[in-house]
Amino acid sequence: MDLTVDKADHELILLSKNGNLDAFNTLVERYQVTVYNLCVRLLGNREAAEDATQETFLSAYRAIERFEGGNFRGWLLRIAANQSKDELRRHKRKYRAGSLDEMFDTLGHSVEVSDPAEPPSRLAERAELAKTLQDALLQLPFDQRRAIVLVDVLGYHYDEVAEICETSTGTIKSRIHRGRDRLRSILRGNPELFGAHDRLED
Amino acid sequence: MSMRFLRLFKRKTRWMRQVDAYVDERLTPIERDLLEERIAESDDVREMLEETRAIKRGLASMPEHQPRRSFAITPGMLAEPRPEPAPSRIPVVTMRLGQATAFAAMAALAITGAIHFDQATTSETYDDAAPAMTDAVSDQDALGEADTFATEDEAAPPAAEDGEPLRDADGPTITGDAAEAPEPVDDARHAAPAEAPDRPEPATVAPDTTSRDFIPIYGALGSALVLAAGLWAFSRRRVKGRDL
Repeated sequence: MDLTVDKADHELILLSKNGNLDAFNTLVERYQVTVYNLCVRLLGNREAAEDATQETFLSAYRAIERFEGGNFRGWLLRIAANQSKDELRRHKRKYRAGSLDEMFDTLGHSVEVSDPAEPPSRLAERAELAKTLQDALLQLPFDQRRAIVLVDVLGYHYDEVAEICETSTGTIKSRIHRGRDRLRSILRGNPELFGAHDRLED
Repeated sequence: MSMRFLRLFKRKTRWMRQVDAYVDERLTPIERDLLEERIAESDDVREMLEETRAIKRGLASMPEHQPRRSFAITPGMLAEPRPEPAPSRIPVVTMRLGQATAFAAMAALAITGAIHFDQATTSETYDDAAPAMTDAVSDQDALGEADTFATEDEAAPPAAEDGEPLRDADGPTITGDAAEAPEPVDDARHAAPAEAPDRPEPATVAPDTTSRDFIPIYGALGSALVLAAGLWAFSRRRVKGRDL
């Protein structure tokens, strides 16, 4: 039985600093979905996101002695965003439009799992909308994409996003504004899709 | 016309920002009331609001992905070498070119600076001598005759017939035959510059045109250094970000 499961984050961090790998792996289990989803949205590719997530936790474990307390999730997400940026550079040619289709082939399954009672037609629409949005996100500059994903997709507050991005709240507001403006321009080509979605939501 | 367009553009940008803040519920009650009034009046702002809401709603409804495996760390992973740092967005050739430019710029800056300093020093020496002489003359013009005599006497104290210079009760030396003394002022004009009275060093009046000639060169070299420093800082920042 793992004795670290019930411990609070700060206790696990302290144990990890003393070289307790089990304690750190409990933190990994707690935050891996969050980190992985950020990487998926930033990279648009499952394999790349997995690599970035793994590297994030390895880097975090190696650097945990330098963690001075505070928002551990924010610290992890900052590392994840940096790893994603590196991953994007490393495999720029590899992750082109083709891999997006591959990624969203499995999206319908994810939606189905989250809500089994949802009609298939609506599932298909949601999957199509998610694919369109992800495609649009990938057209944004990295800084704007990171801000939009953290605020609009993952639902973090501006202040926390500013901390993750190591910048001011004003800069985040500006990035969000420019990102949304760009998304509006990109998605104007799909008004029927948005119309359908809005009708569904309303 | 262009000013009107600019005003319209600024106004539109302001409303767009307000719409973003409205959707995120970051407006004060007063700002919210103002925007709602505007939304009721303007189709453009209303359309903007609807689009922004649709995008925000769409992004929030994107499904959460479940990882296909655990990312727990094993001791074996820790023993593995770390992956190579990601290549920079700037090609290696450009980085090397930037570094080479930096070295070349520093060397050129040092050489140009040395040449310039040498020229400036030479020019200063020449300029120092000429105005000193001119100033001496004009100073002499301004001085009274007595002073002129005194200067003359100091310059070449004449001897009396018996070989001893004569002295006045007041002190200044009087020559044996003052009437026969050469025209003092004219002689003073030909006096050596070294005999100019001890006064503060005159300012250099000749404009130093060489400095202006070097401005573009220094500008270009400075720009090259700034460019190289930027490239270096960019590469450092990237590595630092990765290490975190």
